[in-house]
Amino acid sequence: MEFFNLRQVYVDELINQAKNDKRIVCLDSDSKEATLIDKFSKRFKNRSFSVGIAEQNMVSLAGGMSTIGLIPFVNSYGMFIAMRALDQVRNSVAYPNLNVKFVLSHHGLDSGQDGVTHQLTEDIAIFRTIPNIKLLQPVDAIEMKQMVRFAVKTQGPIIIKSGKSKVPNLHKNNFIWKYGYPSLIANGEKVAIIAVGVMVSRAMKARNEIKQKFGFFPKVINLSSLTDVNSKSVLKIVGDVNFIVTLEDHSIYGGLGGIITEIFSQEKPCRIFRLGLERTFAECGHPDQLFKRYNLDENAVIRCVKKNLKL
Amino acid sequence: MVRSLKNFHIKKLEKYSKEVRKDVLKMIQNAGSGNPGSALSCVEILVWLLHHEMRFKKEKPRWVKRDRLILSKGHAAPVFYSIFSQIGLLKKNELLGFRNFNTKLQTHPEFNSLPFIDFPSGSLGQGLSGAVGMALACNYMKIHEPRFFVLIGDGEVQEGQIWEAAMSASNYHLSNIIAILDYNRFQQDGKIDDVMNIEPIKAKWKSFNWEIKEADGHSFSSLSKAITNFKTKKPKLLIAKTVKGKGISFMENNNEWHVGGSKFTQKILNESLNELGE
Repeated sequence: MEFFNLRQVYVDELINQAKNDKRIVCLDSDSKEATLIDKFSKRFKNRSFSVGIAEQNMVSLAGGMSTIGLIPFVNSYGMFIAMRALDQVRNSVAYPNLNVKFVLSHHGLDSGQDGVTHQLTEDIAIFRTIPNIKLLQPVDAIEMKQMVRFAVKTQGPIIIKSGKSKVPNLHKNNFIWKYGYPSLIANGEKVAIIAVGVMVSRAMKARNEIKQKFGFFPKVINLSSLTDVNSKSVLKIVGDVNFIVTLEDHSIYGGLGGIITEIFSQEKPCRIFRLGLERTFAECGHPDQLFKRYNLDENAVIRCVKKNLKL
Repeated sequence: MVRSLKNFHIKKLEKYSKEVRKDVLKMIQNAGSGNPGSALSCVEILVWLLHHEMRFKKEKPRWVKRDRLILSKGHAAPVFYSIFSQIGLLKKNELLGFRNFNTKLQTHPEFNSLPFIDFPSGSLGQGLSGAVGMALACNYMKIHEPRFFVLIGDGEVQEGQIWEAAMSASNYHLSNIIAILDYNRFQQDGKIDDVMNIEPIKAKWKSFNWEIKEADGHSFSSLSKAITNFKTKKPKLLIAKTVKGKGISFMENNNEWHVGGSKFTQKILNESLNELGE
């Protein structure tokens, strides 16, 4: 199975788009190498702006650029946009609904050895409360390419989480991603596992092991739009199951688990078990070690299914 | 291109300023809240910019080659709105909507509700960065005509982002950015010197590689002379020495009038307007 670095996929697609669209420019905050945007910078030297380690300035500056008609892509570690420059994201970009795009790398325990200060586990909860922002986290290269094109052609602030670890393609090549809609990665019964980003692959591992251990396949659903989620399509894709397990490399509060709980509490009450970080910071280490220690690996999903199906 | 300022211009600008002061006081008193002291200190600066120095087309507010103005100290919004009503971009009877429900005249300039707001403000410290982005974008698009005026408050320069922006403006040689510092020496909680001293302010900006001129922020000829005297290719800072609450005797240098509120009664408004000859 081939694995793709989504930061690389993003940069390649952005270069493709930029060849025919001179409005596209890139900004970074001493994060060219971390976000892999240096390839764009080399290709389009006069369209790349490195503003130094100054994220607040970068975000408002991008807002200013967009008022002249450019489409700035802001590239940074997720943490320093979501937290340090949040006021600027809200007041310099989201409130005026300016055409600024953010592509943010390094999320959660997946950023592993970069340490707790870089392990952003709060961003979904933060960004989805801000009006006008569209928040996206592609599950694979197929979604990432389409999201970049969507960001270029859609007016307003869009945030794409590009992650760090390589991921396999879970969709078929002809998959068409649609903003606001979940996608079924693998069908099944009894339990629906809804996951986001790098966790979808872990959900697939859990699915296979559940089949081996307990004789059935749970469903695996990917939700890559984390704002404006279409409730009806979520209800439909989940269907009739005993319960739902959400799996995210994020706090269990306000993220994917929050989104799903909100939808089902209004539309169709059912049991939902949220797997994610619960009132704890993690530590440095390899993502596999961290996911295991903090109950976010496939075994955590299997334990949850076993316990709650009383198997 | 700096515009020359003749005596007849000055007379006209003085007249506009007096009317702006009246509007501002009426708007704030009517709203029951607002910042009269901070607004009154920058009346002449904004009147001079919008009625004289800046190049824009009122019939085409989004004209790409226009000079831009960012009111980074967004709490001076009523001054802005009043001048735009004088220019004819707002109706006079809209002014009293300021800070009230169901109005285009939001507490701080809202980007999308009015066609002439070049950048949002309200959260202090962000406007200069916006100007840097605009100037970079115009350079990239080879639009060389616009100048980018940014009005910043003296308390506002305590924000770290101002210095990030200052560093980037000189790094990118953005000579068409002209920041104007409304130096009235007060901030919400008291005197700047007592809250958080910003001096030596000239030396600070100079060390960030900006060209600096000083002016009397209530004198049109002084402001005009200062901008004429800018000579370098560096970004420019005009330190405008101003008086908080300027024009109303009991508000001048009296930080109790940083905010209006319930003490700003109709009676006090009438006394203020009397001082302005209404």
